[in-house]
Amino acid sequence: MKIENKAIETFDFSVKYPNGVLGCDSISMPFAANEVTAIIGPSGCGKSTFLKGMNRLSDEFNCTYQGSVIMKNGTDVMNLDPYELCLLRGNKIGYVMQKPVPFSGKTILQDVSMPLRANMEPDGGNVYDKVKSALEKAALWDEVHDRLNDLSTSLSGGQQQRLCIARAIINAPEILLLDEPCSSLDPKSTQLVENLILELASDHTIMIVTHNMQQAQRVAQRTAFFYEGKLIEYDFTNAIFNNPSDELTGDYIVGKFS
Amino acid sequence: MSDTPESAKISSRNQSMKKRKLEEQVAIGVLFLGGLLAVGIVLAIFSFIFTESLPLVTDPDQRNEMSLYHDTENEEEFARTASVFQTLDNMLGQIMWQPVSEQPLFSLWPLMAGTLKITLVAVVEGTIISFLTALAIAFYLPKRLRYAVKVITELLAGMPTVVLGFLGLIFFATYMQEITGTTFRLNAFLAGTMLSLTVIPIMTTLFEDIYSSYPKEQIHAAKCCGLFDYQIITSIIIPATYGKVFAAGLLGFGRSFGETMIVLMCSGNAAIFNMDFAAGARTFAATIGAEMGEVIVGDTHYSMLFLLGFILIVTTFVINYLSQKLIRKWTYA
Amino acid sequence: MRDYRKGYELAFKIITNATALLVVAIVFFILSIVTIKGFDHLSWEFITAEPTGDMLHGGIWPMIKGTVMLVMMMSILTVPLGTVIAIYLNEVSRKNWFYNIIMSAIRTLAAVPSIVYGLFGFAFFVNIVGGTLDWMIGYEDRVFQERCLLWAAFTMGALTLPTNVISVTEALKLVPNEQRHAGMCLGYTRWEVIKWIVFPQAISGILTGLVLSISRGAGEVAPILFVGVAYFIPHFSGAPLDQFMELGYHIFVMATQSPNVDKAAPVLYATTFVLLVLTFTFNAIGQIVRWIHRRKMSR
Repeated sequence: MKIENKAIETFDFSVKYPNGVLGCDSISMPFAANEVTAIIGPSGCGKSTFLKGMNRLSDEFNCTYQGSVIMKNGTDVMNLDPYELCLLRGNKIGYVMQKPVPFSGKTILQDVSMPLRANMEPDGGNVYDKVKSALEKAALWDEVHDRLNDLSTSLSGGQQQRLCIARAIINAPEILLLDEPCSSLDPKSTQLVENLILELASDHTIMIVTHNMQQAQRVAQRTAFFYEGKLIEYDFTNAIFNNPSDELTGDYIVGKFS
Repeated sequence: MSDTPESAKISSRNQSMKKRKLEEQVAIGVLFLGGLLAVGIVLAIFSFIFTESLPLVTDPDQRNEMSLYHDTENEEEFARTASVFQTLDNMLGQIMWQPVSEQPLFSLWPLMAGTLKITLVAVVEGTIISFLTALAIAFYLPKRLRYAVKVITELLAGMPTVVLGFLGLIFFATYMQEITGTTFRLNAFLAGTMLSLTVIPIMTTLFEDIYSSYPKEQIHAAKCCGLFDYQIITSIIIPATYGKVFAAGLLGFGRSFGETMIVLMCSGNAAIFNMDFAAGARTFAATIGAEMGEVIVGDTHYSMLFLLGFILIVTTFVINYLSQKLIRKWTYA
Repeated sequence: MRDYRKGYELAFKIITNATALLVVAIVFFILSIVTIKGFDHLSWEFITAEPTGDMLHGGIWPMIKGTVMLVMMMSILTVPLGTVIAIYLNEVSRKNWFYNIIMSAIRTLAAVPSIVYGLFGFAFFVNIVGGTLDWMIGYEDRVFQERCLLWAAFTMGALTLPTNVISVTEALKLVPNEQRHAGMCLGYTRWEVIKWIVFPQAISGILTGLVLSISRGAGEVAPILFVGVAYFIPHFSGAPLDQFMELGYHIFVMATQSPNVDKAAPVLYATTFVLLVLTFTFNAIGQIVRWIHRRKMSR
């Protein structure tokens, strides 16, 4: 589909696992800036792999890549050396995992400020301010402002996930990748995080992988449907859910398979 | 009634059940006895080493022989009055180890100094090298080489200590002397260095376990924060695991503390009381190994060597207990 | 602004990799020295002949024979006992205070320095057990209360007991609990579950323990220093109540007490080579058996 203001775009992008399995297969897909794009599909369809490939976290699983992922300023994520990759991950692309991952033995303040170490500038007095603004954006400040020196693992699951989101946005990245951020949360926390996503969309480009179709309808302007590593359909959310052009998409949406 | 076929069947079944029950009881009993025997062996080791060293305190003749202040005119009178403090005085009040002489001297200080010197060298070298090797295996080596390096390191653990001692004595000593320029060919530093080769495989495996069992998600999350590998190591992994690393170091200390053959062959075996790493040294274990062969059973010297063994066994027991506790205590939150 | 992080990362990478390389190099260096220097003196005669009086000529057959006899007797003693203890711990015992006591006993045994086993072997096996046997049978002179192969094997057996227990335990832990439950549902007693279901799957663990303890026993010298090994017994009969020669002890004695070390060096290197081949072969077999078993069980 055509998009005017692209934040990032993939061209024939494939991720191959070391055992030869193609995680996702030649996907060309632009993402609109400052919008929420949902990626849906049955489990094992490669949506998570695609997301991990976008910030090259799949390096950790010894994956190999084909094609390219082009950022707004023209850099190809696949061609970066390790150093530039670290800068990219720290400053340009935030990533939130499926389960909340607080660092063990770190206080809330230390945990959220972790990405600041990825920058060249010495982080002096403004660490507190940055953490404060990130936690405020992540709607967590009111709950933790009086116990910033507690261990981050002492928070509840929903709070931990919002802490991870705060950690991901502390350096104001252009892009935010959310890999099923609500799958391990209770309904109330899920609602909080969804509201948060809608708020953050004003100044971040957000990609959210989800297996929950209602969630995609609630938060996303556009939705892509993946099946067996391929991009089947990519359109406005309303169009996909009300009038799918592909038979597979329709079957998935009405729940014939999952 | 009992000759109907039905009841015969039942009685035969009962009989087979009885047999099975008996077999079960006997077998479980044997297994239980095996468990008991393991405890028995440990108790026997502790008690025999202890009781064989007890005459130093309980036997007036040995106390008399240990006494540094012989009253030759009044030998018999003195034998009755020589107290435990005379024994202690000989062990801690002077600094010579001369077991075979007119007045046997059994100071523990030179042995303590020697043990400390050699284990210190071994543990410090071993910890540094294993720590870095484990980091290399866990993070920095090319992925294909990691397993090979691990296996080769473990090969070192299968090497008999007498082989390492022999190579240290015949081969490495000469080159080590050329490099360091020490007066003595065999010294504490050489023995400690050879000893560290026995510590390295154990500690590398332990460290490597610690790092590879660290939660992968946290490392991935840290990568998503844009941290370099060294930042992940220094700011996340080391703060969270230093307790376990310390415990592993303690375990290596316990291992090298009781090692005999390498020390016996490479240290020069001079019982001198100083902390000069270029001089010779003699450890508790090596003393037992060197002198036990010529000793008369029931002698003061014999009891003294068992006391050294008791010191060794208690120290390793305590060190092991502590490090097990530490490893269990410092789990990841 | 200059970025220091790149430099740190490179420094970390170089230092750690260099250290790993150093360890690998040391291993290869040791192995190659022993191989190169030992190979010259190695011959069929060296392995099968008896040593001459000055030990510089002839062969090392009595030492090989002594070592093999020692590890054989040791295995006969220690492997069944280790298996019994491991089965008791894993299958029979509840996890109560008695289980904890046995577990800590095994851990303590594994940590006790090998020289202390020597002291224990001398005080307990040679003097107490041997003396009691002599007294019971009524020998006038010492028969059992002597340093000999039998007591050396007992001492080594105590030393390698934890190795055996641990490797059998590892194999037992790989047996899925469902299989035990399935056996109980068939009406087996506890012992029958062990006999027919668990034990057959633990055999490779027993083999691993056997082989690893053989490799350990062949390499340890400290425990037998004063429990039965001797400097020079060229016509070793193999009787359990005789003193014997052993490869590791031979290396130790020749290296420290030989009047002319330079002359003895080739013999020593060749002996070391034989010892290394023995221990490494057994070690390798043990690791391979364990690896095969793991793969079989995990499939």
